Amino acid sequence: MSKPDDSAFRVRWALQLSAQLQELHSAQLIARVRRVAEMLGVDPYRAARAERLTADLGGLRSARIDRRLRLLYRICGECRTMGDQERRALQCCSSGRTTDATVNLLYVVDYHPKGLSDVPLEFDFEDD
Amino acid sequence: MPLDDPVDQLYSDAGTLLTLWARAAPDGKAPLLGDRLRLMKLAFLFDHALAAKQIDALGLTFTRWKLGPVCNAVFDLWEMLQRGGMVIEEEAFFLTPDGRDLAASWYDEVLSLEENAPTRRVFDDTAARWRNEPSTRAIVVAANEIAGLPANGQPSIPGLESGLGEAVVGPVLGRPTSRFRVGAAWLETIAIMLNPAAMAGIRAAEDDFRAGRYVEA
Repeated sequence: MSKPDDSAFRVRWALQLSAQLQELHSAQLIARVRRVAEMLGVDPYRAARAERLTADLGGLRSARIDRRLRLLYRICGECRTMGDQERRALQCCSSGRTTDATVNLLYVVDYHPKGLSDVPLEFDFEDD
Repeated sequence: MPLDDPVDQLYSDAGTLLTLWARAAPDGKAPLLGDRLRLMKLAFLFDHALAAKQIDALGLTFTRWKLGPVCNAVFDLWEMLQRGGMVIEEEAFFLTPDGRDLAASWYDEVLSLEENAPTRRVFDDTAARWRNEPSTRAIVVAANEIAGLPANGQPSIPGLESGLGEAVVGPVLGRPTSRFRVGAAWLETIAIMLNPAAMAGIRAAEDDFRAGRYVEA
């Protein structure tokens, strides 16, 4: 059995996500986000406890950075297969210049609601 | 998945109660849901009916108070739902189009799961019983009767004041007959839907990709 290609998927970062990363003010956390992004570049469907979101957020995926933080992203191939571009079009959906093996990283969100932020950050995530 | 994490439970309660309030809205007055008193007592009547069947679905604790049974977590849920744009409060609560869509999806995709059938039966009974009752007073009277309070909620019997603050309905003790389940995808989804900063961030990031503003890893 051949080893999976470490760069099977092309990973692209929204400009605002790059800026958001700089505002995290934690080298450890930034490294964690980058590590999760690398894992998504290998297996965006399963890495980091990836979940495909539902309802109005269908087409988006959520990957765990730690107990609280999630990295939101989309996969071009899934978007095209599931028809998500009909509802949430990106430039890459129709341009044909991106392959299905492209992951678009969008945003880091806090899973905990505002006002319940007393739960300490904790890296409980286990590498797949 | 069973709701062992208090944050998961909070999101689940937000989805379930929003759906209850939408389905028990006074007939013909949608998107009017009702005032705080009505919504609080509806949540209590539902929670009490679940507890009577030993169903572990909501993470709420109601205590006896002067205006009837009350749960502080419901105040937090109202704030979350308002911040997330699911309801608007202008003297009474009104359901927004986003709130209507969320309630419909939660009913179809979460409450209607086969493993949640016991909860859904109690939910349907509660909603059907009260949607035809536009008067908040009838709901308050029913809730206060269960809580052992006078109809108007104001204790007039000497000594009853000492019972204020006592729990009326809380978590199911012992082995539940059924546990409410919410899939991880739905928990992640509702967490983001109720987070306006996250929704704005997603829109901005999608705009970035549409405009070609991205960097390659």
